[in-house]
Amino acid sequence: MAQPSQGQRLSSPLMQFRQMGVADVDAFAGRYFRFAAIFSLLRILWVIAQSSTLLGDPPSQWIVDIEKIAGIALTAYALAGVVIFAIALYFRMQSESNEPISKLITNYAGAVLFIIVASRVSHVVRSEPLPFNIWLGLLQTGIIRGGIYALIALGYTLVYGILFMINFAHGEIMMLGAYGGWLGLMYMVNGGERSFEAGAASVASVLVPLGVVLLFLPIEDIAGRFRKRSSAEDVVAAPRWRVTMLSLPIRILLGAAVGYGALLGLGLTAPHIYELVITVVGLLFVLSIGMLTSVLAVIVLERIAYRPLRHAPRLTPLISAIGASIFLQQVALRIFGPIPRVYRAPRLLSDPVTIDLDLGRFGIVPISKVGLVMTLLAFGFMAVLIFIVRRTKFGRAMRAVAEDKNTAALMGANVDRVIVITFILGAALAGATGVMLGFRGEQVKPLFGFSYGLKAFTSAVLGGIGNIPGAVVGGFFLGLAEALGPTALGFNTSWQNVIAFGLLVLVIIFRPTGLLGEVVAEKKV
Amino acid sequence: MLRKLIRRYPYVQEGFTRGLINGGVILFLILIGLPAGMPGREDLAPLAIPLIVLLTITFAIVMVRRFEGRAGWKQLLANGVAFGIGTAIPFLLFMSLINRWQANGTSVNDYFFEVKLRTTAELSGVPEEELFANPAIDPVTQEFPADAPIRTNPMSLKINDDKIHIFDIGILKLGGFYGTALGLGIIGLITTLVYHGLSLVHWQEIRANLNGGLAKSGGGKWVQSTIPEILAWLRLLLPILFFLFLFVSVSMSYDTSFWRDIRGEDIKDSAILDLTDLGFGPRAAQNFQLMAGFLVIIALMLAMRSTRYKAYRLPYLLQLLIILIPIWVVFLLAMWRIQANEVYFIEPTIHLGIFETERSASLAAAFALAVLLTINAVRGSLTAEQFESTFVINTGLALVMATPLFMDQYQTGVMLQVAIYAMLGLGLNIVVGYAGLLDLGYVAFFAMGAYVYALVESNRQRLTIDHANDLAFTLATAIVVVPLVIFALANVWLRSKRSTTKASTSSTQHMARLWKDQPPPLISLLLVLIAVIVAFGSTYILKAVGVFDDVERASPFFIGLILAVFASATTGLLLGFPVLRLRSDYLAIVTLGFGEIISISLENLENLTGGPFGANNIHDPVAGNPTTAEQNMILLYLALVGAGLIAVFSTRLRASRLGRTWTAIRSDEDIAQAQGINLVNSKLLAFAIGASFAGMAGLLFAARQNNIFPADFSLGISINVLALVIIGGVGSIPGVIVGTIVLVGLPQMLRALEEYRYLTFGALLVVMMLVRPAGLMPAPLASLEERARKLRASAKPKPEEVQREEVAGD
Repeated sequence: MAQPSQGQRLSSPLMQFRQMGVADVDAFAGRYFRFAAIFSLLRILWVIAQSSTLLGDPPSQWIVDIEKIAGIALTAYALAGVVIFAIALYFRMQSESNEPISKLITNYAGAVLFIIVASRVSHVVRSEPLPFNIWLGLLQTGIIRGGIYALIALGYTLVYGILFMINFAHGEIMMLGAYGGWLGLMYMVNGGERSFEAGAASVASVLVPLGVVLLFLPIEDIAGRFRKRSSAEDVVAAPRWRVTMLSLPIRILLGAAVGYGALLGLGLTAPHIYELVITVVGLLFVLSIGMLTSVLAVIVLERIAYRPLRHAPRLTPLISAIGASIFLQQVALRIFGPIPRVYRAPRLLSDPVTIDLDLGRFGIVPISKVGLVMTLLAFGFMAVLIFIVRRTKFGRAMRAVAEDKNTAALMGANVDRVIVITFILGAALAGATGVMLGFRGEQVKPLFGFSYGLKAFTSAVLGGIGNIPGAVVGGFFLGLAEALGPTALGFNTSWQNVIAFGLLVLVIIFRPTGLLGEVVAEKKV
Repeated sequence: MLRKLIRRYPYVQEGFTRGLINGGVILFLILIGLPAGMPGREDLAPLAIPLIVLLTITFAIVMVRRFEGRAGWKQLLANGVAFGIGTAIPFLLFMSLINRWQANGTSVNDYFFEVKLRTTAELSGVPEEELFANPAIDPVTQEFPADAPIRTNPMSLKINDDKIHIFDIGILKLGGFYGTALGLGIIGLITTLVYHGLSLVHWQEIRANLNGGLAKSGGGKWVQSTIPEILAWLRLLLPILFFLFLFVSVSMSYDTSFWRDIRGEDIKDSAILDLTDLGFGPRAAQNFQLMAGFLVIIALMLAMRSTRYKAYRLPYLLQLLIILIPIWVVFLLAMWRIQANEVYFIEPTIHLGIFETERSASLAAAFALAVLLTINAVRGSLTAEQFESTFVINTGLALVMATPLFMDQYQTGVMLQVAIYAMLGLGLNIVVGYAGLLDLGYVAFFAMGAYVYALVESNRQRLTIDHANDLAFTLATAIVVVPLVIFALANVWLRSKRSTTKASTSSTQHMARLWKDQPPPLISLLLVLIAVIVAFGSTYILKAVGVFDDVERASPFFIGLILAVFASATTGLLLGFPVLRLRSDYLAIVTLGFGEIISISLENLENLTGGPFGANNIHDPVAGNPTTAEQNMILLYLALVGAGLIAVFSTRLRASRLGRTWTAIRSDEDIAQAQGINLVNSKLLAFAIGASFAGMAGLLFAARQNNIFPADFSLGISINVLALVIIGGVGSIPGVIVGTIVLVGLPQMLRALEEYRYLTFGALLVVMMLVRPAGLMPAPLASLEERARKLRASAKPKPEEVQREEVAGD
């Protein structure tokens, strides 16, 4: 950047502009873009609120006027931008030093894009106003879908963060989880002979007593007995061990009796709570079978297709992953056939399907029960994952391996195991997502994993790949954009995927490292 | 006791794990329906048991090898037993489930698509009709009817009819699922022990003794020089041999009178070697011929690789004859085919007197090619050292061009598809292989080419004759005029600048400067504008003068070709621009997004593309109402010429300045930039060139299909093309061609295994990456890089070596 020499005078504003350093101009461009973006978003929100009679029915004149003035102001802002950026570009090209002009151009283009989108939304929304509860319904769809994308995206981001590899087969892992859950469910309801509740009751009558028995067992003693004997204190003294062993049958019997009795008592006294309990147990059973299937699949996949290629050039594991993706799809097609498989939903979630939220003047918003449970579960899973990564010893090992494999190995982290467990974490989330999608009414087909995987990967990239909060943000961002975008922009819903991928392209052009930025350093492998 | 068991576990761990894996693989095979339930191929069902036995033997051998001779007999025995148990566990678990279902009357098919009754029958030895579910329960008495026939339970060792066994080894007769499991276990155990016993024999000593004996008996020179020489020449002659096979197996028309004299009978249509007489079905015979056709190409690629830079002490004329005789023999054969069997591969669009008919035009074209090859051969064999390569290239080209003449409609159809995919692959090879930009949305350009052609001439839009002619004249002029004008104007601009900078003298330096110091964007735009105006002007003048007066109807194919190439190259530039700054993975996902956007747009822009119903009745480049065979033949020749030109262009491109720029960018972008390489231009050019090839392929695709739909341009195509580039060898042109034949041509022939095509495809991708990551025919540079990588990897000392060194240091 050229410093003004001592004798030079800053005669005119133009000259001042000319003397501005590169950093100043770029910073100015950034501010220009941010200002345009924020005001366009505000305008969009304002016009939605206005048209959906949130700000009065009908909205008072000044509310409408503000929107119109904002539109005119933003247009003027864009036009003024042309002049300013033309001058900046002219000086930039005149200067001898070879400063890039791309930043100027992208910032201006981004600002104009935002302004155009805002005016388009304003036009569409004003010409066909939608009531407020419809907007809330769309928002809800977006959040549910965002949760799904986020959960799958976490799997991509975890693996990418540690191996710098796109696990292309992740969507297929999810699909296998959905199939696994379906098998578990079919096993539970005996091939569709009985209702979900009947199946869940029989499963619960085994699982609940089993769980209670576990509470009664002297876990600590048994674990101590089998643990590696590093010091004398770990060893349970022999006489005590004998007592423990002798008490074992009594404990088991007692536990089973208590568990079974409690379940029976609950069924007799409080049928509603009983139904809730067995539904939860049934859902957890199906969920865990789905997760187990995914985990098993990913263990085999990692062992065969990824581990031998860990030191290969970057393209090699990617192709291997693509191959694995095709292979898994075809395997599912051969094993389960092309017939779409449908889950059987429990009564509590399907009868009725929605809870109606009455908003008085704005009408009724039907809230999907499955969606609610899914979103809550998704947040729960994310919290658990973030806890594991941030707070546990394994999480520390994981972050260390992501940073530098060799050093981490020297520090005592078992790199292979860390990588496998990372895959397992992602696969468990994917399997759970698959099962949840099944309960949501999605048809489980061999190819359905791929499109979800693609979207989820898109959202991982949107949020900044390798970045765990980024995946969550990206997932919700994409979900909301897909749900709200077509309506707000006045497109047919079949353009939804175009909006999703267009968004991806735009975000990558304007922020190449995603919304929250990559956490991993750009390493050249 | 449990603890004791756990402590003993490592002793048999190897056997148990291998057994579990074996059982798992068997289970997997049963689940995907191989081979007992294979649809349409029930005759292959008896292979199920041998396949499973083979697997078991393999895994047992793997287990023994893992011990590397460290285990004694006792441990091996224990491991063998553990192996059997491990194999049995998954197998029996699943089979008992199936059996229970079948007994309950639940169809296994409801859950597992491919597990048929037949599978169960094969695996248990119980015949199918015995395996049906138990009779329905009587609704009144809630019991089985008393007179129901007794069913055989497959879950037992001894089954009703003692004639039914799977394993029948002397006194040992086993049946039922338990029997199968037990039999597999016994086989595993026996294999373990036998293989261990065999490994105790000192094979190497025996082999060394044998070799020594051979050396003593003389014949060293023979072994050392003559056999390799013969082998090398065999490799060069392989294309000719495959072509000969094709020729003799194809039925041809003979001039009956001539053959009556020789063979003593009237032969109208017959092959010298009729494959159907040898016991092959008609489809198999067709596939053999097709395979021979592909092998001609593959062998040519191999031969081109294995030519040596070697001088033969032969007279020049003899050398020339060795090259020319095959060429002209092939020409004669082709002429025979054209004359006698009325196979034409060219359509006279312009009437030039003698070439009025298809026959004369075809013959003329064949003759022209032979003459061209002759000239090329004369020119090439002047340097004696290049004799081999001249021989291979010229004869090979003649063979490849003659091959389609000997094929029928089905075979040319498959070859056409391969050629179209080869064009796609070569285009993607430039983007991925040369410039190292991973493009997963390549199908977008393919679609662009196809739909542009559809917009020229289909039910979406049909140009009137006047419009079409005008467009064709303008395009034809523009192709010549625009580059010339731009080049001239840029030269003028450069000269005007040169007065201020250092003078460059020669024209090559001049060109180089043009490439390096491009005019600034605005001036370039001005130049292009001027060029376009000049082009329009000259079209007008030419038209006024009457140059185009003879043309009645310009070929829409020609218009489509230019427009498709132009449109897809422009799309390539447009898509390339935003993604310039992105590195590998981001680039992959963004291009993938672009591909999806294009294919969704095709579906939704109904006014333009016809939506999901597609564009129909696309113009056929062949005039009149051609049969599919004629259409295939002519399109195949177009595609062959196109693919050949692209291949030559790619080869020349790699060594050019631009190609070397790409290589630099691929190896390290930052360093390349520091070297003064213009990243933007080079990357955009890679995108544009790759895209234009795909546009051509799309055009041919549309011309072949006649109806195109958005579903034809799905992500699958992108992945397929990427896979064939990578399996063939990234950056290697013969590799891409071989990859196309393997991935596109072979599956067409394996119709029997159609259901398993993509399954094999996916598995093949993974296996290739594990075994030969550089591809089937790696580019020389890539194989060097691979070797360097391996060297680097092996140069790192292993931990135990480091320890040993430290000990030694002490």
